[in-house]
Formats: sequence, C-alpha cells, structure tokens
Amino acid sequence: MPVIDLAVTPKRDLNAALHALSADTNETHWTIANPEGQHAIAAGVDAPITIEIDGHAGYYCAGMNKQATIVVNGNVGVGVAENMMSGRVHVKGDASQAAGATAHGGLLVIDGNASARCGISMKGVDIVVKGSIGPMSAFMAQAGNLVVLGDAGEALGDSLYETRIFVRGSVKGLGADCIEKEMRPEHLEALRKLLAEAGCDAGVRPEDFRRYGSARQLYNFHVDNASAY
Amino acid sequence: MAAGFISWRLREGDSLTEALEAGLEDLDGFYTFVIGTENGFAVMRDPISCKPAVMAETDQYVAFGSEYRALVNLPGIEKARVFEPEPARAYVWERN
Repeated sequence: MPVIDLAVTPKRDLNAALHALSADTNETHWTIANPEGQHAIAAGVDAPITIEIDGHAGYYCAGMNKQATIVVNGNVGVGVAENMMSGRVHVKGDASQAAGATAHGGLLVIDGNASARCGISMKGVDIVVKGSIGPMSAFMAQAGNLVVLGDAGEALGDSLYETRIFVRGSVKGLGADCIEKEMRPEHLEALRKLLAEAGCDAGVRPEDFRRYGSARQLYNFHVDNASAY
Repeated sequence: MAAGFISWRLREGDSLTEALEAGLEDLDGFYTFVIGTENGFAVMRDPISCKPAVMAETDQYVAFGSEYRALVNLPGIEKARVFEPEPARAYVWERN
C-alpha cells in the first residue's frame, strides 16, 4: 500500500514507479497525497491497480489510463482521463474542460460538473456525469456513451458520429447534425447498466432521460450542408 | 486593446458588468479578462472559452488563476469554493 506524498516526492518519480509496475504486481493500492493541482498525475498507467489521489489534480490526470482504477478526491483540471483505453476513473469533485477527450474505452465518472467540451472526440469510452456539462460537449464524438444526470450546455453533440448521449436535465442547444432520438428498450437497458456501473442508479430512472445522437447528415459531403462543415 | 475598450466603457459610465457585456458584442477572439478597478474585481471569458480559468472564493477573498496549481498557496484554499467561470458570463465583485 504505497503512499506517495507529492509535497516530497517529485511527480516524475511517482509516474515512473507507476509505469514500472507489472500486471501481477502486489502493490495494488496506491495513495497520493498533496497533489496540489500538479499536471499529469498517474498518466500512462497500465496495470490493474487502484490509485487514490487525495486532493485536487491538474491537467491530464489519469490520461491514457489502461486497466487502473483511479479515484480523485477533489477536482481535476483540463483533460482528465484523456485518451483512456480501459479501466475506471472516478472524480469526486468537478472536472474542467475536455474531460474524457478522445478516450477509447473504460468508464469515467464525475460526481460534480464537467465544463466545456466534455467527451470531445470520444472514441468508445463511457462517461457518466452526475452534475451538468458545459458547452460543446461530445463535439465530434465517435463512439461510446455520454450520460448526464444534470443539464447540458450549448451545441451539444456538434458534428457527432455514433456516440449515444443521454441527458436527464435540460439541453441548452444541440450542435450541427445532433438530434433527439427515440429511447428504445435497448437504450433504456444500456443506460440502466451504465448507471449501475457508475454507482448512481439509486433513485435515478432511465425513463427520465432523453437520448441524442447523430442525424448522419454530415457524413458525406453534400453541397447544401457546406455552411455546417 | 481590450483594456482600452473596457476603460473607455467605464469612463463612459458603464458598470463593470455592462462594460464586459459590451465586450462580448464588440470584441472577437479568444480571451479571458481579469479586471481590477479601484473598488472592484471582475472576470469574463469569451463564449468559446478555450483559455483555461479557475477561481477560488472564500469569505476573505476571491482569486483567479489559469489553473488550480496557481492558487494552492493561498490561505484557506482547501476550504475555498473552487470553480471554473462559465463562458460569456460576467463575474463581478464590487465594494461599496
């Protein structure tokens, strides 16, 4: 159970130690104290371990994560779990811009709010935000699910591909080519499963969400859409 | 230029909020304005809000930084309300 105090240990040493772990390591629970907003904490981890960060983290926390469960007992800066491949990242506070950007897999749970461009260009990750998300979220999102228990800001899902977006609250506006879609039984089931995985299914009904997705009008060049490209 | 614009609006009699909202109409580009006046402090981000911004507020002070790391040495920061200002919204604190 290593405890790393970032007020004493340089962050590069911490990340190097995490990168050196093998898949069968016995050091499966790490605690990181005094993160104080440093960037790239626990980025690039590729081992089935749990890392708890006690405090606020800076940019790109848990970026490129593979396999690990990373819990932040605080807020995170820009790009938390960006390009995550697998594993689970749980932010107990708020997240700044571009949370889960380009992430291919795994689950990102944000207990608070996420600001602008949450899930931008997401490629297969599942993101569950218990609060609200900012403008331009799921911009050019390609695959995966974005679930929002609160509200969504302007231009939700602009130019998106096949990501499914579920929002329980209000949506300030939809981006180009993003439309509301019918909630079919398979979507309710998928949403129920996601809410359970994120640990926020108590008292949250999948039926209260609306689904948004791509109208698929921008996939191929069409001169009438020129202004939207 | 933005400083000139806002000073001019304030000289013309705008409140801080009015001056910043006028900037939304008249100024293009990516920006975050942090403004201190004799008795006030204000923050305004452009509607796209590419540039990072974070704020901390306590009963004693309000602080702005481009990232949380810049605020960690402030007294009582661990109990402060830390939040990210919304785009195109004027945050204004004024002393009477």
